[in-house]
Amino acid sequence: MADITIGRYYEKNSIIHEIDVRVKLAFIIVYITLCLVSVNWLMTGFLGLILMNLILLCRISPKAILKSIKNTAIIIFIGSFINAFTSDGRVILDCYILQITDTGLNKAAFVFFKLIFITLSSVLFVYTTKPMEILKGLKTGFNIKSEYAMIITIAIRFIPILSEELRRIRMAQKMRGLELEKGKAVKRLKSSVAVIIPLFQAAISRSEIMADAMDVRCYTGGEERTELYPLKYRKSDYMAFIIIMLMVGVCITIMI
Amino acid sequence: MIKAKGLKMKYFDDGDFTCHIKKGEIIAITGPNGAGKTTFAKYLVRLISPEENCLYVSGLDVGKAENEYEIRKKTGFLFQNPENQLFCDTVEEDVAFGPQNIGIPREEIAVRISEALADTGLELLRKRRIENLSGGEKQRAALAGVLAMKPECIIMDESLAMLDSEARRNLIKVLMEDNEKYNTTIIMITHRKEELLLADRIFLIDKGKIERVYEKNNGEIERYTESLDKKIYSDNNEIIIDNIKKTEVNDEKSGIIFNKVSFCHLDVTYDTWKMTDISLKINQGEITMITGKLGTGKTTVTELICGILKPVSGGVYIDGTEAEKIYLGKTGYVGQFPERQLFAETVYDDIIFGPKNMGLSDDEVKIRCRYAMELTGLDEKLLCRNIRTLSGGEKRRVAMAGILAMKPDYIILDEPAAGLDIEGIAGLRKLLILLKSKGVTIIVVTHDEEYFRGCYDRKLIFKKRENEFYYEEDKTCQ
Repeated sequence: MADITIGRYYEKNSIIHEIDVRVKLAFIIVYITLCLVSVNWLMTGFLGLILMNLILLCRISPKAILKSIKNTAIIIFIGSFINAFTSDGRVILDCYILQITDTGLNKAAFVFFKLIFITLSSVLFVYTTKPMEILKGLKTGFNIKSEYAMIITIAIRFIPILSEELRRIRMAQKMRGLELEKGKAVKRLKSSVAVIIPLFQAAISRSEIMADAMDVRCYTGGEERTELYPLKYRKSDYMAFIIIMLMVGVCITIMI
Repeated sequence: MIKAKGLKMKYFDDGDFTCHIKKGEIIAITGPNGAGKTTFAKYLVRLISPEENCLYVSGLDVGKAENEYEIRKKTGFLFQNPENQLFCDTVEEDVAFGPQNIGIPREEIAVRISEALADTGLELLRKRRIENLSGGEKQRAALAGVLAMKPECIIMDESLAMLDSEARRNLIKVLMEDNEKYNTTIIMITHRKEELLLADRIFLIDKGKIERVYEKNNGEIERYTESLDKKIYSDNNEIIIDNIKKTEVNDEKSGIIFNKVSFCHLDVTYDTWKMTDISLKINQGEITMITGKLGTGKTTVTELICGILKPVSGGVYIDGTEAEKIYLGKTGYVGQFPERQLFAETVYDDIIFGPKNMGLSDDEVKIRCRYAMELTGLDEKLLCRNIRTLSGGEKRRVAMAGILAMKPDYIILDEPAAGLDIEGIAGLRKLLILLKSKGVTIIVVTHDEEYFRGCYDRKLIFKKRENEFYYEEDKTCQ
């Protein structure tokens, strides 16, 4: 629970942080689409290059970014490695029924990198954009009702609160002899009740208080809300838009 | 400003809550848990709706749904836990949250933010992210959010209870200034002497109605707070003197020993906190109080004692054994708001959870259960009751009993006074002294020092210098 990346924003002073959230959202959507439709190594390589540049530009240590996707990378690796067994081609390694082929290996690596780029780009977006900015971006850029956008922000806000609550409950129950790490799956599931029930109760009561706190500050979810800092496109944002278009252009050329 | 006439409190049958609060008055509301204090506060902002024609705020009938928005514009509400009332990323944005909601123009919001931040002394933290604030700063930010709405009345539901004494003083100062400057009415629910003494009038509420009103003018308030003091501090001295079992073996190994403990903690904001070469001995059979501001490593110390955390170097020893290798039941831990850890159906099931895990025989488990219930003053009739049907105070005692039933030699209590009324605190003090007389070593982590006056042996104050935790022993209090 400690290494949850959602809702974690790194405060830094960089071009990436400055860019309007709507541009960033547009970029993410375009970038992910391009990754998915990418057909060859050239295009994937090009997309990787762009991502590398962005990571260098955002002034967050690349190590921290790579570390945050460690667990995801393992899952992606296992998932994409299946490709190595299921394709035709020259057999490189033969172990009983499973055969690793050269085209299979190529395909596995290809899928792996595509998925890693998608993950990394999303992580980069979350790390460089304040949750409240995302809310504004969704509201104005995509015309999502502010109520729904608020739900998303509050949900993000809740994650660190709940993980803290979970830590406390686990400690208390552990001191009463609860063993979550030992025993068979059924037993573990049974003992997790001692943590889950208090956690749910805490979540419910805290969300009730939070809702009350929003109510008393006159939150109605209405559209008449004023905005302290309304989103405004600046020169750099138009530049970023042009760069996105260029990126799409290059990719289309490669694909054709 | 506020007028109540024959108001009927939720959960109570008869409606005779009547009061009249003038603009600019400071009112303290006090009384036992479950008396209807919070209900009254929630009525005032229509979080619960009262019947019509019973309650008026600024001339508006709170019973009418159409007045809701207007009433909330005029009243500010400060909750107990600042974590639950800050929604935005930065201090500035959060202060702007309310004014944005009521559609105040942008330029005006900026002015209001500056004013509110100046009043609360947070100007320099304007762009600071909420998660990087200390507990006291968070509550001040929440108050700034309330002030930015320019309320005619501020309602505080034990809003200072979770703060350390310095943060509490800061916040009170802001409130008093606001009261003087804008003639804001302040209504605070509290048990604390220092806050009660600020009030123009105190409403003592019990069973859903005002039992008594104490006025400042004729010294009633002073007399009342003195009577509260008496209630809290009149422990059964005879237990202390007669029955204390002096620990026979208090050799080098006994007690909790921190031997040059170093610890490094990476928190959510990626700041590192350190503890270097901390050495400490907590004597057997004593009550040790650990205090200090929020975020000075108090929790880390308790987690080290409980063996949940492992020191990077050095060791924590309990009676000569490493803390993480200690057998179950040797140390008991009562967390903050322990009632929140209850999970079983019935009282009995929850209390025996610990003893059962210790592998005790059924008979022994039953004996332990009875013993723990007796210690915490729970009636045996409650044994088969469903936990959900208990009152807040009873739940707290059941949670405590669950830990005491394990008969720990060492017991750690994290903010045990939180949410307790005067009776509860007096009961807690008695329990601590009773446990001490049975030879139990007790560690109390708290910022409510005054509640434990005269019943602890040692006081350790935790502090932070840059990113390093350290402690000092307060020798004056002995």
